[in-house]
Amino acid sequence: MVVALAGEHDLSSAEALRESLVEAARSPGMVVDLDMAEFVDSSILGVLVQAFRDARESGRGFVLVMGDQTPAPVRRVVSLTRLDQVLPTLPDRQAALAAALMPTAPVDSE
Amino acid sequence: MSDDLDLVLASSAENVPVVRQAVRGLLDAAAVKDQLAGDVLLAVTEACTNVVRHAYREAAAPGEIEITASSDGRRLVIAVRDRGCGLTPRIDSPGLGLGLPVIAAVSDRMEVHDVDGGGTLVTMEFALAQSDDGAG
Repeated sequence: MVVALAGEHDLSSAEALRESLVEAARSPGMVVDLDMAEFVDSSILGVLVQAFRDARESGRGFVLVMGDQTPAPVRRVVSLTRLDQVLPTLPDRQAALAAALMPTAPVDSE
Repeated sequence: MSDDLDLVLASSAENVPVVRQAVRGLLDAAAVKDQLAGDVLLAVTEACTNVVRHAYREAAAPGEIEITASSDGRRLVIAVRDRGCGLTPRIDSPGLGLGLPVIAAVSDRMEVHDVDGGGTLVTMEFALAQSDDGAG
């Protein structure tokens, strides 16, 4: 399942995003597409990290879509926080979907 | 930048984008854009998010966020203040703990102080592009 963020996201939309990602986690693989997101802050990054942890623990795929086409403010905060070194990230949605659907073994976070 | 900002809002998640929009108006009026504008908006958002998440967590009712912005044309100074519980460790923090590091990374100067009478004051300073020498 693809969850695409559009517009600006911060603490005021973090809970709604978290609920969307919990719903999306019922599918075998989850892709979060940031290409239409104009702004995200660390509260949104926290939601993405938690979704990644949950996916990893249940053996489901999780891939972030972000590349040169992603708005610069979004790329900047992801880069500043080095989230792109933690979360699987690809620049193309189709490639991300394919990667997210590849079977993975569950991993304990702790 | 002649139109400075002085805002007092309830400390709620819904007001975080309200503050960002107000600061965006200030930046637009001063023709501050691109990465600098994005950095200012990110820093203000992180500072306000910290207030909403942490400052009044032990209070019976949410308090207020106070935001001021001023500029002398060479630098922009934004202060975000609350009257909450002050700087205290929180082992049950709901976030990644990235708020202040992000502010430090995107601003030219940042100070965090406990305030007499209670609360925390975060001051962020940004150098504005020089425009009076024709270089910009």
